Amino acid sequence: MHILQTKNLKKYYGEEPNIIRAVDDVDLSVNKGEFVAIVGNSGSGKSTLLHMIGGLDVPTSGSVVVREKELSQMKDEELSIFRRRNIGFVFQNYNLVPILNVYENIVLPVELDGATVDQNFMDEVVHVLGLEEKLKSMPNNLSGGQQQRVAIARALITKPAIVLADEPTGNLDSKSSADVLGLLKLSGEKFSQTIVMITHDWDIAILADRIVRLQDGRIIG
Amino acid sequence: MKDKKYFITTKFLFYGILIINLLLIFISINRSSTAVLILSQLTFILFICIAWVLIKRTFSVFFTNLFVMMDKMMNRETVPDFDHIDDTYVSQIYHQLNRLYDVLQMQQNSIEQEKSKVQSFVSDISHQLKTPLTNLHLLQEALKQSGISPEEYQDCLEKQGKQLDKIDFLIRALLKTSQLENGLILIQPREVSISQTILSALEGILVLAEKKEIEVYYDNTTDYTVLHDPKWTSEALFNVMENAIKYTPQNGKLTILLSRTEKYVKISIKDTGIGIPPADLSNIFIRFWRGNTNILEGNGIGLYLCKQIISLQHGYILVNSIVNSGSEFEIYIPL
Repeated sequence: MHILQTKNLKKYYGEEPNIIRAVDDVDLSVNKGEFVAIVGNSGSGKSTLLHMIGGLDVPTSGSVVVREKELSQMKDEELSIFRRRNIGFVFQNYNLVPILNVYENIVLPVELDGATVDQNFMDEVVHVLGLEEKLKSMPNNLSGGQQQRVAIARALITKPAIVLADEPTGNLDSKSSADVLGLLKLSGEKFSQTIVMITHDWDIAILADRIVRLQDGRIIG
Repeated sequence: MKDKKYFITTKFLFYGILIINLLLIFISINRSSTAVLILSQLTFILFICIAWVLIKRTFSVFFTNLFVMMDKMMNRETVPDFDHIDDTYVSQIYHQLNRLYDVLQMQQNSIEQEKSKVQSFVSDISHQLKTPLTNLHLLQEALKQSGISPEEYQDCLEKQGKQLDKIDFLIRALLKTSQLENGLILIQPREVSISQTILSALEGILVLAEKKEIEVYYDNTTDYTVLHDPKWTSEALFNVMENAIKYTPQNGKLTILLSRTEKYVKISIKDTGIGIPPADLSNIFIRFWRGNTNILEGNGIGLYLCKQIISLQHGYILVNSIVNSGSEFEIYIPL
């Protein structure tokens, strides 16, 4: 029951002899509902891998299959709709829209898809992430941890098949990190979400069901 | 894909009707000619007929697809992919239906996983009990032999006692886990002092710590009222503390710190023990997993039980560890 699979995935930059193998022949399978952490030092290719999984970057060769659909065979427009519906992103630097308030930021992806917001689900997500009091606030008036929780809510609101988190606590102090991590895991369990999180931090990775180690673009167990 | 073609053709036809008719009407007014007006009416009717047929086709393809999908779902087979991923309602319905199937499958899977967990648990129990039982049998055989010296006799009895202790310990630990595992125990959260829970866990390890002359530090002046199950949480904390003592050499130090974040209360249990190699970190919470099997006794249940208890209360555990320097377990319980 794989929801995500990469086959011989490669991303090379430059040409021989100065070729850089950012991601080198990665075969990764993620089951539905699994929480996987990809751990590696900076420069191990983990961000590149995540971007390719999310269809934000094009592989040199190999394939990414999400929900039995191969991303490389999609047209640009199809890919962007597919991404919006199936993949939720949480970035290190939150990427909230500064001129929209918290509520508007969260519902943005739903409104982009022309759908109506499932109000009950919205309330539940906001409650789980503890954002009830902050819905009217502007992102700039929130702490880093709160902003990241808004980003998680935004990633969850479309009920995506997969949530991809790129160093979600990279910019946070240890206290806010604790909140963000706990709530990420909790919401994954509560909303039967598949989560792929990348981090350089072993302490954080231990939270996941499975840890994948990446070194020099290769999986080493 | 067929329905998409029909859909697009219908769309073009629709605009076609509009433009041509407006043009014809415009011409007929301009020339005040009834013939052109009638022509415009005729083309209008013709277009309507063609559009009608196409719309019917679109719907029939769409409904047939839905029918096939639901049929496959009922049989729990792989669902064929009809979604052409665009911004139409048709595509959204395909998508939602697929997601619904995914979610239901996931729930089904987790039920099946629970079931196989219980099965593996039963086989684990029998496996774990086998070794001490085999040993007991061997010792029994040895005792039956005639002509063994009183010293040997005494030795055998002592060994038997140890094996019995092992079985006793295993059964008690296994009982606890099985109760948790099978949902026989309900976590009963109450709004009570977390400091009291920590203290009651500490009581259990003080003797052990004293034996190894390990200094235990806990400042109970900060306290929070947290919604948690005091009995089971204290059991979880006890397991971590007991482990810390076990893996800390003589004259070490155990520090327990209580603090809070916005959403969680954090209990940090820090020792000056042998530490955990990074590669082992992901295994320590697995049932029956044992790191350093040759040094100390243990059964690989304590930390597993601890994680279960904390997870059931929607909390989580992080571990920082440096080999030969010490480990820190951070236990987070939601406020």
